[in-house]
Amino acid sequence: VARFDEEFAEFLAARFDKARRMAYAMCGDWTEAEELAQNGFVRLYSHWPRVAGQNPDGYLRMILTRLFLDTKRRGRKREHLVAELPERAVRGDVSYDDRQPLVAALQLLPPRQRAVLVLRIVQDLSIEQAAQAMRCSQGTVKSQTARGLIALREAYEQVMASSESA
Amino acid sequence: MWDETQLRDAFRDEIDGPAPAVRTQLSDIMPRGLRRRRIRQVSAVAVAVVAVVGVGVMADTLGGKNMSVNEPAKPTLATTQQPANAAWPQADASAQKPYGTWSPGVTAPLPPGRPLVTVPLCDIKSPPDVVGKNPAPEYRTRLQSALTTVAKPAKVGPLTSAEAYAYTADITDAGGVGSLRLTAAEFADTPMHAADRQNFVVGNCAPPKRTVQPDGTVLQVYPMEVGEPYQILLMTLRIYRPSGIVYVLTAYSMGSPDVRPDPRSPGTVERIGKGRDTLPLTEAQLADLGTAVADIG
Repeated sequence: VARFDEEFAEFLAARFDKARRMAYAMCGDWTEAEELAQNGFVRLYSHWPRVAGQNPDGYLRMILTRLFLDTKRRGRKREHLVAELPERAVRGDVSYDDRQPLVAALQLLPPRQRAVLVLRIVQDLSIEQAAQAMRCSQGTVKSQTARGLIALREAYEQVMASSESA
Repeated sequence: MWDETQLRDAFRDEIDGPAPAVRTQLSDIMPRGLRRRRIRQVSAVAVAVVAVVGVGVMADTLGGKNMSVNEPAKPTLATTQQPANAAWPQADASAQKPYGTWSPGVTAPLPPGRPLVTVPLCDIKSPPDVVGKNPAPEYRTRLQSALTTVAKPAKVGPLTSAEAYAYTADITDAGGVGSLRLTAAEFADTPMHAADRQNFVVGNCAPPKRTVQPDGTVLQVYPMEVGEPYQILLMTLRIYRPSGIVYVLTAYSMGSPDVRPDPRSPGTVERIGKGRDTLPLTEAQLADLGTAVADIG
């Protein structure tokens, strides 16, 4: 057990910040990203003896993606208790860190498109790996990526226009 | 910019830029991970025991009684209140396989003394409702009256609207202040199809319990949910009317003292209190409430 714990501690030290930044790309909030990463590592640790010798990075990516999507689907009843969350983020009054227009634009996309773009573009995963992380078909990854890129372009233009008019 | 390589580089520049310091330590992870592992191990033993007992039960029931297949693990209430169950059968759908159990987030831990409630988590299989239907005054009046009767001896406050398209009434008893929330939405097909499509709309593992009225109205009550912050408990009843409106009644383990209007986002409320440990209504009370208003709207 001690050996497994040592290995896990090393893995945590090496990967936590990377996982947190991946979560941040998806959710756009550092506090939420830290929590997603922490919950992801809790789950990873509970399976560590089984996954340590296999592909812990892939497993962690899958957990983080599922946690993110699950949080979004459940509406994250933390700060705002609204009737139902719209699938699309509300457009118009966009506030963001102007040093991060792409991350801000990404937050205007539906959660699954965000997740697929982070996995395919930021993490540079193959279609097969992204499908595995999202637990969907490769066809879904392809179509979500294509739609996501179009939506991201529109969102980016909106963010930049909002920035210029401010 | 929209070449994939350039886009990747631009994204990485932003994401790998300055960030708040990491707060998480190994000691935040390992005890929770260990607890999850133990819960899983205990669950595996429990499943084995249930399977053995199930063989005996099946031997008794094969004589012709109905059997429930794919029954998932029931939520374990660590609190003193066990929901009194609605006497409706489950909808005809296979249970989902849980992918885990709920645990509180690090930024909203359980208040001192609040026991952890263990509820299995499953995928949400249906799209959410399109919100924007304001329940008619007649509906709200009938609901207010029925809630006052059904919730006795608890005290029921007036049904008011602090959020767009949602009405909430406090329900107060010895356990504290909880609430009931009413929203409504439209659907395009028959009540039965809409209800079937939304069998797993709240991320429940077991199918909802269902009853169908002579006019085609479908009522279904979902298993208790648990969520953030502070381990909020919810139980939802959905009423699909032939008119194409679905009324959603949700019992919450929090009430008006726990929220206030959010100045940053008009039409929504902000959570400030930690609520109560239990739901203010049992499953049976929620079902009775739904039945009392199932013929209107």
